[in-house]
Amino acid sequence: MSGGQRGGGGSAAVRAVASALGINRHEMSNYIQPARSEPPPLFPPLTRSVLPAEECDRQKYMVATKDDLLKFGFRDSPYFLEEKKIGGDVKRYTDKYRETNRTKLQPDWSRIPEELCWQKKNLEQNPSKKRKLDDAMGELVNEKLKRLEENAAEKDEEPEEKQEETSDVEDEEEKERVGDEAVSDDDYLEEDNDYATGYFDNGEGYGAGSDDDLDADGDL
Amino acid sequence: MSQLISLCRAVLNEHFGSVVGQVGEVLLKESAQFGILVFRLKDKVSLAQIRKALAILEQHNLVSFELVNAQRIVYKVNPWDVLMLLKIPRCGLIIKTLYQDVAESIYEEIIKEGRMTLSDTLRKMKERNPSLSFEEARSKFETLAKAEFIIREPPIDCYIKGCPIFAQKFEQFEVPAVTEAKVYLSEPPANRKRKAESGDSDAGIYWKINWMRFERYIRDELILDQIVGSKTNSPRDQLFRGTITALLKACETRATTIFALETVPVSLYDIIKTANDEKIATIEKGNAAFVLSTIIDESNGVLRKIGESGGGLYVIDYGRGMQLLAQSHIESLIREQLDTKAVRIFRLLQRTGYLEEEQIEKLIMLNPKETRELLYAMNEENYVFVQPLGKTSDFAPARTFYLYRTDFNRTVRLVEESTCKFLLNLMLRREHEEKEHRALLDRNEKMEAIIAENVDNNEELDEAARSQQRAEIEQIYMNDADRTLLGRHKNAKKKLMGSEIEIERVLYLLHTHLVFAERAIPMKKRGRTRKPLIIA
Repeated sequence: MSGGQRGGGGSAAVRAVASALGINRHEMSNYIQPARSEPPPLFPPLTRSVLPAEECDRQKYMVATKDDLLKFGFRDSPYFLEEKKIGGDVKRYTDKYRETNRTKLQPDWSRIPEELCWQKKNLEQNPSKKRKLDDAMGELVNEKLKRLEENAAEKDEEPEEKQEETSDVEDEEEKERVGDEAVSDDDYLEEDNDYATGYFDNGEGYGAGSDDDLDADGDL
Repeated sequence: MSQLISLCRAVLNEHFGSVVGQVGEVLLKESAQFGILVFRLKDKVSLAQIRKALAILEQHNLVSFELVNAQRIVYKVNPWDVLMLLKIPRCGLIIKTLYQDVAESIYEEIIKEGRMTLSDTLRKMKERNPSLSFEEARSKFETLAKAEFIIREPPIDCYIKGCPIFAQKFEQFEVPAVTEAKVYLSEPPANRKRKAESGDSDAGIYWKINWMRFERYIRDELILDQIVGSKTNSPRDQLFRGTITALLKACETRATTIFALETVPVSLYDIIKTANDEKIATIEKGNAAFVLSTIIDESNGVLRKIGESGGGLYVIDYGRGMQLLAQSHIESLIREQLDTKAVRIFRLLQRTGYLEEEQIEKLIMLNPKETRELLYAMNEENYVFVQPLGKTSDFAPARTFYLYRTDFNRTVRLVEESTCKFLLNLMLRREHEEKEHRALLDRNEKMEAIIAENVDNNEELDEAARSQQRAEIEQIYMNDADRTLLGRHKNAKKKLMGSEIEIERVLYLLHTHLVFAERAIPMKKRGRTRKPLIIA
């Protein structure tokens, strides 16, 4: 019963609920406990004791195996990874004897994804591939920059033809998308979004004096 | 299941260290890509440590990764895989009873390494026991593979974006041929590089523990204990046990998956044949038929006869067996916690469905006060649930029926959760005990080392002098109080570990019941629906 939460009791409402639950008036005091001011004990005495677990040879054997494997099997293996203790308690002379000599962890690299290799050597195993990728990326970036520059130049000259230009650019993008799937930026160039794809701000109108100041500083 | 996750973390901590525990916990909560994992563990674990931890988990087959959309690698940890680590001692015992010591040490080596090639295992065995012959070790390995207790890791099919993709179809239990000369000679001790470079003929063919097979074995054991009892003293018990063991064994050889709700039908003829072939027992036809018909009457639907061909076709219903086991566990829990009367109420409600308090009183023949107290206590412990049914829409207490009902699977689920908590508490307690007595244990270790070095290995001393010196050293290192304390600690540790092993079995049982129950739902739904029983 959750009578404890209701506290003092005696009010009509409590009595109504109690009578609905079938508790007589003279029994009320059994259910209502005085308000507690301290937390319940951590280890209250058990009302019933449980039968002790059976001990047989099978169980003894299993316990011994478990103890052995935990102490010597897993803790000393290269697969045990603990946080390095920073500082710790008092340094003891015996500390150096306690360190277990685990062999170095050497997984079979071929069976795990490449991104998990923590050794430099393994990361650079395939330099030609990486180089190729870099080159390809470089070209893509250059192309993009060039295109953006062109856009900007055209826009500066003929701002009134902006609308037409936009559609042109989009056509261009459309064609290119077929060519190189890899450029993820294309995803943003969907036709019916709100972005003005043809619009390019070369930043000239922003923070008017700052660039000039830098130049001036350089001159000095 | 937050308790389950904390339990898994504690298990990982214990077996592989705290870093692996931390990484595992994140992946247990939610499968994630590497980048997300790193983000979650930011400022707690360094990048290299995370990578190492993942590699360790992978080595022990606890993490699986999958390439999603050919772009992202998603890592996943299944909590029940992690809890398999708690089964290690039980499975070790199974291997020992079935295939003796050599097989058990092979099992232990593979457990420790997570995965191993045949050549490596054989070298390890030689290291452990130089007198062991090559042929014996190899044949034991082959036996384990044949019995499907160990299984080959899938070979790598190809790489996509640096992620190995494993082959789907391969020979799972085929042991590669190795020769003694090649295995023992191909390992220069100074340069113990990884297998791929060592030039073994079976390089890259790894073996791991086939947990599924062990699970099947443990499940069969549970069912066997349930329908014939665990006594093996009298010839009658042996006959009963032998027959059912043969039945289960006969199903084993026909490839049933662990997911099957019942065994394939086995004929009487097959049972007798298996019993004789596998040397379980010699059973006569008349005896076997008698045993089976008796068990059908007694087992409450776990063993069924479904046909007459081949002397009679029999199946064992795993779902039913597990349900009965779970039922007996829940009942004994209620009995220990509350009373036998509470078990009576529980059974009554299970049979009749929805009942009001007064109806329960009448049917169970108890006075109102006691019934009410028991029902409230059971409700608090989630053994029964209340379904309010209002006569009016305001659900005023005076105008409402309070119907009591049971929901067995829900109760089991809640008990499973508290079992996880219980197991976790046991583990934490053991850890705490160990920390508390660290100094004492260290001293004991040192003392034993000194005795072993100076006394036991000293040939000049005779037996009397040895025991005298031993006593002297013991006297120096420990006084009587220390010794009793140490004894008490060791005893407590043993008890805690023993309970852990037993609790793990119960946890497995409850979980298996839930898995079976979930699978059986479509079948049950077609059956009868419960209606409230109103007694005038």
